[in-house]
Amino acid sequence: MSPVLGPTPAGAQPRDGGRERSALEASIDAIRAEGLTVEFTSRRGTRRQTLRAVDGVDLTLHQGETLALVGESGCGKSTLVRTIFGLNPIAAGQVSVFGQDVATATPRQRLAMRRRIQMVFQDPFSSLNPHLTAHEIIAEPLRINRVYSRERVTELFEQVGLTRDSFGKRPAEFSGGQRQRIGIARALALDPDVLVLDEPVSALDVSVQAQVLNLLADLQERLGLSYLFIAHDLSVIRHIATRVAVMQRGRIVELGTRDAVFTAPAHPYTSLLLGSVPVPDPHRRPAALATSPS
Amino acid sequence: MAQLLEVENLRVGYTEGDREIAVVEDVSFTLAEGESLCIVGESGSGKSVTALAVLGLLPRPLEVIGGSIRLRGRELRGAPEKELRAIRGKDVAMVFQDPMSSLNPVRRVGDQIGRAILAHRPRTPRAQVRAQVEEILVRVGIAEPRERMRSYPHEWSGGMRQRAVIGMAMANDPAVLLADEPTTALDVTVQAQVVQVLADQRAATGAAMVMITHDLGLVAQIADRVAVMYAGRFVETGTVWDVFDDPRHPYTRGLLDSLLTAQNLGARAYAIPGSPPSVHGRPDGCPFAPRCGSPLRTDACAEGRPTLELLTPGHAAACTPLTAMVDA
Repeated sequence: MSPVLGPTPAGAQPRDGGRERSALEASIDAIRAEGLTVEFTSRRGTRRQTLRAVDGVDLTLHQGETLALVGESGCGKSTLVRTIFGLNPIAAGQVSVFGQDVATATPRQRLAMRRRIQMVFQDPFSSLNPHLTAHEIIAEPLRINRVYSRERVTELFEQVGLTRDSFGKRPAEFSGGQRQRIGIARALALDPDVLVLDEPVSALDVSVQAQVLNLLADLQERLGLSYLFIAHDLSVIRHIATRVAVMQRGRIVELGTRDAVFTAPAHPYTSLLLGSVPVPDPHRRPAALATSPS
Repeated sequence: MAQLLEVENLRVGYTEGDREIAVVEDVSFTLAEGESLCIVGESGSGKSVTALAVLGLLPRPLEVIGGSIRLRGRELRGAPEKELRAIRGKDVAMVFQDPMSSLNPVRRVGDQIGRAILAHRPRTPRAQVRAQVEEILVRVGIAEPRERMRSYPHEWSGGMRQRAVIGMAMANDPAVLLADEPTTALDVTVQAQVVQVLADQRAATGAAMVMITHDLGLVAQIADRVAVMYAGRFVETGTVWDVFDDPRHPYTRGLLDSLLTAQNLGARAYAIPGSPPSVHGRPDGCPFAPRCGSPLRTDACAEGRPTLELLTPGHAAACTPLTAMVDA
C-alpha cells in the first residue's frame, strides 16, 4: 500500500477510497466557470492592445459526464483550459474545480486540485519524453508524489490495454494509438476524477481512433471519470459527448445536450459547423461540388 | 476518354545495405481528362510517396525502383530534371497539406504567385503578371486582391494561404492537379470553403485531380474513382459508388464500419483491431491478414501476396479469398 498524501488520517483512505465520497461531495460540480474572462495585453510601441481570449464564459462540467467543447482554432478553447489549470491570470469572473476557487487557492490546495484533474494532449508524438521508457513515463507522476509502486504501473498499463512486455520500450517504438494509451495511463496515474482531453484522437489514424474512443468510454464507466473533451471533429463529439458547448471568439454561443445541439442547432455558427462536415455518402453529395462536365 | 496520366506497377523504396525496402509496391492507376481520383489510406501507407513519385520529387533516400509513370504517353520515370521542371506546375501541379510550408515566408504572396506564372512564361510583361495574379486571387475568393497581394504569408489566415496555394497551382492551367491532404490542416468551416474552391477551379479549367486524403467524408463528396491504399499497395479500386456501396476488401469494410455516424450513436465504435504495419514490419502474405476479421480469411492469407483482381468491371480488390470466389 502506498502512502497517502495530504492531511488525511493515516489509513483512512485506501487508494480507491477517494471514489466513495459523501453525497455532498458528489453534488459538487467538477468544474464551474462563471463569467470567466481572460485577457492578454500586448504592446506596440506605446499603444496597448487588449485581446479578450475568453469572454464571460459560464460553463459547468458535472461529475460523470462528458462535456465536449467545440470551436475552431483561435476561439479560446486552449486559453479556457489553461485557465482552469490556473495557468492564466483571470480578468473577471471565476473558475472553480470541485468547489475550490482556482484564483484564491493556496499552493497546497492547488497541488491537491491538480491531482484530481489531469490532462491528455493531442499529439502523442510530442507529449511524451522520447528519452524515457514507457514505464518511466507512467511512473513519473507517481514518483513525484512519492506513491510509486511497480504494481500500480502494471495496473495502469493493463487499464489502457498495454502489456507488461512494453515496459522498457521508448515512445518511438510505439504506434500513434499506443502512444496515446501511454498518455492516458500517465494522466490516470494519480487517480484523478476529471480528464481534460485536448483533441485526443485527432492525430490518430481513422482505424485507430475508434479503439481509443472505446477505451475512453470504458475507463469512464469503470473509474467514474468526468471528461472535458475538446475537439473539432463533430463526428467524434457526436459519438462521445453527453453535452456540447460551442465556442466562438471567446464566447460559448451554444450549450445543450448532444441530441439537441446536433438535431436542432440554435445558433447559426453551430449550423455552419454541422453543415461543413462532409457526409461520407456519395449519394448525398452537394450539387455545388459537381465538377465533371459529363 | 484519352488517358492523361498512367502509372503502372510503380515501386518506390530505398536500399538499406544490400536490402531493398519497398515503401510503395505495385501501384497502378490511370487518370482520364477531368477525372478525380482519391487515394485513401492511413499515415505511412504510401499515399504521399505515390504523389511525389509522379512529380519526381521523392526525398532521399527514396527512389522509384520499378514501374512506369507516363503523362500523355510520355515516360516521366528517369526523365531529365530539365524536362521535369518544365512539366511541374505547368502540366502537373501540386497542393500540399500545410500551406505555410509551401509559401516562402519572406516574399509577398502576390510575388510568389507571379513567379509561378513567370516560371513557365518568362517573357510575360510585369503589368500582365500583376493583372493575372489579381485575377487568380479573385478566382480563389480573396477579397481586395490588389491590397492583399502585397501581404506576406504570415498576415494571412490558414484558409487564405491554402486558397493562394491552390491559385498558384492553377496559375498555368495544369491538366493534372495533385492535392495531398489539402484541407487537413484547416478548420472544418474553412475546409468546406477550400474544397469548394478546388471544385470551382476544376470546373473552370477541366483539370483532372488526384486527391490524397484519409477523410472518407471528403472522398465521398469529390471522388469519381477511389483507390484504397494499405501498407504500400492498393487493396481496392473502383468508382466511388463501388467502394462506398459495395466495399469488398475487409480493410475498406473496416474503414467504413469505423466511421462514426448518426446511426451508431452511443454504441461502441467499431474498431479495426491492431495497427497498420510499419515499413519494416510488413508481413509476407496479405499485409492486412493480421488485423483481418473477415469470415473469408484462411491460413493461406498469411502466405502469398494478393494482387488486385477485378471483381466486376472497374471494381478490383486485392484479397485472395475474394478472387477465389469470383473465379469459382
